[in-house]
Amino acid sequence: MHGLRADHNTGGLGTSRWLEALWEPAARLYTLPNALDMLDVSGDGDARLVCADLGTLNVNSPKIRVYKGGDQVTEHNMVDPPCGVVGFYTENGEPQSSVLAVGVGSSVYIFKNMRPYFKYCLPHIDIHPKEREIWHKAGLDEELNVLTLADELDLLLKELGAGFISPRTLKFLSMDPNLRVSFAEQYKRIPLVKSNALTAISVIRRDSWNDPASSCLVLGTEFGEALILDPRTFSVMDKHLLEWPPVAFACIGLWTGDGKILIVGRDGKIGVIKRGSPVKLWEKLPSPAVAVSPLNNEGIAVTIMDGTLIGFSSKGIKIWHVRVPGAILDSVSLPVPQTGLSLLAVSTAGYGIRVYDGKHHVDTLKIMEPVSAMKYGKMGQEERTMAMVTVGGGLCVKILKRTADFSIHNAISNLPLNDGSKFLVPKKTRLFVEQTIRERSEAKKIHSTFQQGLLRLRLMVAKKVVETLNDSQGAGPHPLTMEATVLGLGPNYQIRILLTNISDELSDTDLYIVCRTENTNVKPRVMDVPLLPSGIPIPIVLNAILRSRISGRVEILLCKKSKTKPVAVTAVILPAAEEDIEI
Amino acid sequence: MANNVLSNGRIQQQPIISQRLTRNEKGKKVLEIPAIESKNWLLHRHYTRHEYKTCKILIDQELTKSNGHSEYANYLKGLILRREGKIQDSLNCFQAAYNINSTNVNNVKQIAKSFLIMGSHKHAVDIFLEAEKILLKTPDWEIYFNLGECYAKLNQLHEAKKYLRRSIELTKNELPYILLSRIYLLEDNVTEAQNAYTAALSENPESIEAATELGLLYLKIGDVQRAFQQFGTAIAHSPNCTKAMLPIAYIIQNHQEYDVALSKYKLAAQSIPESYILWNNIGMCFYSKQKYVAAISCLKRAHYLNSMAFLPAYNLGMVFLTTGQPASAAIYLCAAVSTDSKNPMPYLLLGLALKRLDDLEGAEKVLQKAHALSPQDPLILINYAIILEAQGKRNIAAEFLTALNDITAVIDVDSQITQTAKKLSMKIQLERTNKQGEEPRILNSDEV
Repeated sequence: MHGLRADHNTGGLGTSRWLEALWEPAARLYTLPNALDMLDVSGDGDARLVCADLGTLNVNSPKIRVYKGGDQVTEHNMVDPPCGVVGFYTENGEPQSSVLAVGVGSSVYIFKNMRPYFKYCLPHIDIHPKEREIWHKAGLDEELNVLTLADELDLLLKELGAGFISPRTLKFLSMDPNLRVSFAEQYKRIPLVKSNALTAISVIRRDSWNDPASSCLVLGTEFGEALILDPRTFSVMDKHLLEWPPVAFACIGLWTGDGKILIVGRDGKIGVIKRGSPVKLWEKLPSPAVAVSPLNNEGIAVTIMDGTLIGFSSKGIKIWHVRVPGAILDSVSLPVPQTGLSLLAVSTAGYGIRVYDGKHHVDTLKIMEPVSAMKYGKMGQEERTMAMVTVGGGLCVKILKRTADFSIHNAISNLPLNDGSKFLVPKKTRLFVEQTIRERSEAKKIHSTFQQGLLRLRLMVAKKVVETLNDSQGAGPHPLTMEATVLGLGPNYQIRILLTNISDELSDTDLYIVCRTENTNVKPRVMDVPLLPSGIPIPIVLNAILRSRISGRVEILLCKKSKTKPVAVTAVILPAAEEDIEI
Repeated sequence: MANNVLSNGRIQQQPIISQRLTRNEKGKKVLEIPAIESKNWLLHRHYTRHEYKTCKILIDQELTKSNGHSEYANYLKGLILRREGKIQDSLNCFQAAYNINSTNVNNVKQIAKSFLIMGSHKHAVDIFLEAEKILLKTPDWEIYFNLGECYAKLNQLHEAKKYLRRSIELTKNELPYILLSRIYLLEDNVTEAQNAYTAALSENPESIEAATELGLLYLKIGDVQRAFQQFGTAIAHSPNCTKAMLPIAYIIQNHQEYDVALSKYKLAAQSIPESYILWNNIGMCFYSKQKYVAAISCLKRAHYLNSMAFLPAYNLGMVFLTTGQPASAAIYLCAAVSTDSKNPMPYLLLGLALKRLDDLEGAEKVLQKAHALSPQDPLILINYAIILEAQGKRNIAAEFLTALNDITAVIDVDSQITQTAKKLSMKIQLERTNKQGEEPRILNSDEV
């Protein structure tokens, strides 16, 4: 049973303040904060650990498990995942009156001696009169027309928005049309209800400081109410309208006295209620709260999502705040009445459970895995037990030693980490020093070499740029072909150039022809090319005269203005002219 | 129908006709359909613990089960997607949530915020105004703050200030104060900015952002004493706050307590080892302590971390000049010149470096530029004169010396400069050739 031992506690803080009681890595619990409590379920003075296990993510098989020491005593199946379990007493001074409340869906199941005892149902939400009317009418019809019903409800859904429609209607509308008939038949005569949902559950002492004391259940609902139930009748004593769903409560004092309940909302709203007075809001938290815990000096500690632990006074004034490393998973207060301390344990992902006294970090519990849920209280006969469920599903129990001393506010954690890591000034090599020496003696030479190199580099870059610029000037989007033929007998020739635009559109403008000649006079040497229609060869005629009796050569360049590279080049040879035939 | 809290959630069944008709079915119990919201607590629990993967699986389960009609699942999915940077997708989620429940102001706020993040500020303004209408009775400072933010981005500073002031009336949070101060600073209204920062600090004495920004403001207006105080308070609240650590070390460095400054920089180096400003300042600390090798290596690291920055390049040039490496100096000073071409100092130093490299022509050109940028600077005048004289242009050199003389009459000039000037003018008067005037040692800023 007491299989593995967790390596625990930090160095530097002396011997551990915690005794290892139990480490069961294979307990396979999927437990979230508030789903863990310690209660003397049977009234025999032996407190058990009660834990809500949500089963696995995909298969919903939630169970309530009761442990005695490391052994599971009983388990109880639940329909839906419980959002919290709390144990309390219904009578002052009677240990036998212990009951366990499990909040599930829209009801609270009360177990007495671990047997179902009572089921409290949250009051239903009012239904829009139109929707009620539609279903009421459907219930009266003998022959139900499902299509009309669906149409009417669909219209209503569009008018109101899904947030104000009962789940029955939504389910009906999302069904396959063939299944709607049987569904409507099944439900049409049952009163239409819209159930509320529970969001948080907690307890507050009713009227006595002595243990065991009767306590009131505190319930938060999805539609923004906080309900306080009478411990004997489980009927509503007080109801507070918040208009936002609460996620957690921190209860201080006696409810029938000056007790108050601190409530946090999903978006970081935080407020306090007292019996008979409406909710008083404090300054909104900078990010949503993870957990709230009362401290024994009337203060309240709130851990929030951005990794801060904030201490509030009972009036709602922010007194201090500390950054907590890693993501915060849960926090729970550890009252140590013997020393008058009120510590707070904060479970973090990767940094163990950090124990704070006010803003001072006083201890760290190292557990093998991050702890998902924890509870501090009386377990078995031991008053100072901390039960923890890790994210991997392990169950761990530790006991706070009676000799544990948290009074040394170790100043170490407050000081910045001095010389924690050595400050490294980059070093210089021998090569660097040698180069320095050389530079001092031959600065001029180095400089001129550098300048020459730089200039050469610039020149090369410029050349390459010109090259690439020219390369990229291809024929452009409108390709042309050019044929040249020589006509005539010489020495006077005619060069006939056929230009064809082989694209589908008009050719580019700004084209011209230049002739580069050898031993020949060409007239005109430069000639503008007209706009070429698509596909029709356009002839251009030039006159060429050989300068002497040897053959000549004409290179014809088709160019575009402002580009250095010709679009097309062709060459013709002008044959040497025959001797003039004398007639 | 009676639906009160006392009836324990059960509705009093009225004997209606339909029930009488179906008496035979009564024994058959029909399951109550659970509320769509029944698992919201579970989603929220996983979300606050940063367990986004689990949360997304659960959200998808809820959305399929409810046929997309779960408001909170949509809302939360939006929040998670925003964290993942998928703003458009998250906007779609918020819009789905809004379609389910248009009376929840959070949905409207998140839609507006998505627009704000995506940069369509005009759109965001419209939607924030709509959100404001929903919350007429209980005004929300966040909406006004966000409106201020949008208007500031749209450069409608007057509107922005109006909304920020309204936001400040409703909250003690530092954010609207700080934004308001920044807007005042944009308008060069230092006193108002200072007031806003002070107000933020009186409401939130632990606000590090307000303290450091106020400190920087004091530093800007030259009130070093109060700046030091502000940075001190910021560090007292958060000992590892680099935003305050750097300026406080800078002030200490300016007071020539280099070892103290260095120890501060060492602390800062642990959290921001890649800050070029930090390494620049460390380098200049070493330079002032005349540890040139260390100075060079630190400055080189700064230059490596940001090769486009002016200060590391300029300072490197200066240190290389001091260590007698004009060729290296010239390279870094060229870099400094190209990053800040309006500053005369790197031109001056570059001129000196070129002169040492016997490139008098280049030196003259560079100093001409420096002189054009700052015609009254005695350092530039004297050095320009020396270089001109070295090139044999004695007449022009003499002109500059007269100009320098005129300036000496108006402002205090370092005695070294005046002495050199005297020597040089004597030399020119005697028309002696080719002896270089001793150039003044440049005492220079170790600015941040």
